[in-house]
Amino acid sequence: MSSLEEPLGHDKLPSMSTMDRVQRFSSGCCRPQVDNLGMGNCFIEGRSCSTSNSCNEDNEDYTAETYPWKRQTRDMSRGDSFSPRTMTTGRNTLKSGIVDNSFYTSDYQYSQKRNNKDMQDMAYKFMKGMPEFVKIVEVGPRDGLQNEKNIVPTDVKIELIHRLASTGLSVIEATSFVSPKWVPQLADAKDVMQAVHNLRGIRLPVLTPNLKGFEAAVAAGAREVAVFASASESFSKSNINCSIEESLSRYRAVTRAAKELSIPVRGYVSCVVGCPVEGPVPPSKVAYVAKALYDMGCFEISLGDTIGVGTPGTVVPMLLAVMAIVPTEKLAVHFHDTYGQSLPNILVSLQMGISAVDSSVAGLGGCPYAKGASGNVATEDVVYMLNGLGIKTNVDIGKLMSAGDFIGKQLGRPSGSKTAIALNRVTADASKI
Amino acid sequence: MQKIAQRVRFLNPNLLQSQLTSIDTTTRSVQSREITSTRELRNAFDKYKINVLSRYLNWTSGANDNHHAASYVVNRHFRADNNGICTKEFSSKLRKNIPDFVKIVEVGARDGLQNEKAIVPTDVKIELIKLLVSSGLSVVEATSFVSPKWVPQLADAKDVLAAVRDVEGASFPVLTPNLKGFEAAVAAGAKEVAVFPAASESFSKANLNCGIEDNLARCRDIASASRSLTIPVRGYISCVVGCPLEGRIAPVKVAYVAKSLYEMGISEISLGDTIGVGTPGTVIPMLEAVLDVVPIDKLAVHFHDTYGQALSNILISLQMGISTVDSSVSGLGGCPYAKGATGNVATEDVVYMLNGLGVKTNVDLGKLMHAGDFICKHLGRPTGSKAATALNKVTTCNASKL
Repeated sequence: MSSLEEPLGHDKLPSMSTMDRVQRFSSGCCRPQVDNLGMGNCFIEGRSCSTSNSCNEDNEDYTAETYPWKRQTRDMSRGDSFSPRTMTTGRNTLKSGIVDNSFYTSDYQYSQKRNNKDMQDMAYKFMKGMPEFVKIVEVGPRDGLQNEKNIVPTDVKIELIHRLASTGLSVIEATSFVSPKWVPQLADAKDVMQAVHNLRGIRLPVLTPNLKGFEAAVAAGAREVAVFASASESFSKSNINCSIEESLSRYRAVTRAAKELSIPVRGYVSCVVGCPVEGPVPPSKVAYVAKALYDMGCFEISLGDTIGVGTPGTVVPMLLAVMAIVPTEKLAVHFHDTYGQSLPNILVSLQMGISAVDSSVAGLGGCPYAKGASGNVATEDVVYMLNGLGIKTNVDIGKLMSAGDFIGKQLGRPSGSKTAIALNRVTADASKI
Repeated sequence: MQKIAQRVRFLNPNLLQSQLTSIDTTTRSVQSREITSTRELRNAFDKYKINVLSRYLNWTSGANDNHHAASYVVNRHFRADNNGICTKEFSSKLRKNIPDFVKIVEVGARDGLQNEKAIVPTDVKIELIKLLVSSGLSVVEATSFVSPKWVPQLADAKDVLAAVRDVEGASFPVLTPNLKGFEAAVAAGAKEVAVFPAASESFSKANLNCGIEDNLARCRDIASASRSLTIPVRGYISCVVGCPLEGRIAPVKVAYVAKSLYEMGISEISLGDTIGVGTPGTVIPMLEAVLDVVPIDKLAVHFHDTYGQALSNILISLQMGISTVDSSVSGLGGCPYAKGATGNVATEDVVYMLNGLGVKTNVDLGKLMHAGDFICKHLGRPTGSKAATALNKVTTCNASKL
């Protein structure tokens, strides 16, 4: 949209401090008592609401007052349409009498029309399967940093984990106990683990490709481990140097040992949609590997679209296949944003009832198969969307952005998160649409 | 079985009884009997193996006519296979409203280039438009007849339109903020125009120097002038979710503006999330409000990717039955409200997703990427499209890392 007339100069618009900007445009951060703006993205001019988890503390009230839409969709028996009040921005009612009346009128008509069951069904249909809470598994320090060419100093890694821990994230993948020959970036796994394993209230899974890695992890203080099989035979051979079956037997040894120590094991399945070597991967294979990991005792299976080629068209059949034999609550999704498809893929996964999502702060971690292309989806972008959907995450997006800023400065690059960039740079210059 | 029963109960209580009684326990479905071994499981699914080639087509640039077949086949197989109570419910609910065909309105040449600091030469603009048309896009927004004082980038509107208006296979809407611009556009040969009111009073005043009502009055003038010339008019509504000044925009306001446009004879109404703050949580109520007062076939969505939310917003719009999407090649066009942040969603990324969904677009992704490469080379920057970046750089290396 172009500007028609005189573009508005900076002096005519309210200036915005950074905090104001963050508050204004952070989705989901608003106080319940303000006009029932509801619906997630709450921009409240001049409000000094913090970006802390305060909204989440007001649990039920927050959900009820500020998401009247959400209440509606979850409770069909109410029958009522939205109240007109919830649909107007109280403070922002227009001054002009004519417009006021017509808005009110159309408001009223709108609310009457909303009694139409079909319309109510629509939102209900698309949102009802969604979980109320989504667990975010932060993989930045491992999956993210692992892809960096330059070795990141151990203290930077530790600092990053500490910062992430303060955002409200409950699971942070700390490091990987693989041979430093293959992944030199994570050669300091022991040191990192020893420095962070006592962090309270946070789970810190580490990757363990075999029994040896598992033992090293336990010795360093790990209390949760992860294993990773591929749904594609060729990828398995080229990436971890063994067939799928061989990798599964290795992991059975790990899970057996872990069981004795009551250490939970998370299972990753890679190439769940496509493989850089084989091409498309049949959902049946993914289901097979997922079930094998589940049967051997993994408490959660994370389905990874390793090369990011998935779209809802291919993700849905894959999820259907896996959900047919592994309980939905045991599943997580790990989409890569290489083709920009991760958020829609996450959205359909939520619609199907998945409630755990892997992501990486600032979108750390490129795609090793498409040099220069992006890899992991950015946690900030995911949290922004979840906040907008009214789904709880317990993650403070402001603090998350600060962790992302920190690592971005260390790596000397801008954030890979569009949300973070936008929230950092919003200005009030409205001279052009 | 218990699991299926629970799911169905949640989805539709009425369905449960009838479906449960009709389950054939000897059926092919893997859900309705015990899986006694993994081999059995593999065999069950392998029976319904999908044509690998057709699915591969989902990824590559170029072939796009089988995309509809590809993932549709995938979905259909799974619906048929699993005797799916829950699977049928799931995939049908998620998929059935999505249109078979989506029209993409390409705004790169106008909305995209308009935001460029350096003036793009007229011949480059013309070449870009021609390349876009050759990729299969049927609607390419060509330029804008606004005062060159405010938008110097589009001062060559007349020349651009004169050069492209006879190109076959596409229509070239142009923006006309007022009657004067409309007359200039018509004189230059425009066969379709566009107007753009805002849903936010403050934004309207700040950006267009007049309130919503005055703006709608101008739109009415253009609408009646164009009616006598049988020139279709497209209407854009900006700030349909959030406004940089007012904050949250109530859906009812958007519905009001949309209804006004519809009643004055606007042929298509494009709902624009100008600052990109929308998520499905705010987009759905907005669309519901508008759908109450405007037929769905008149609606288009114009999401900005400033917060990375555009594709998921587009997806949810498709699920609600919207079948027209605005986008910009290579994601041209930043956000004037968040300097350095992105603006328009990249057409390549949208086409990639639609291809994957089995939705027809008639757009050739390879040729589209070529148009994107062309303009990005000229602008001296990398593309804003992730799909284009990935497709340009994919290597099949044997990675030693996950």
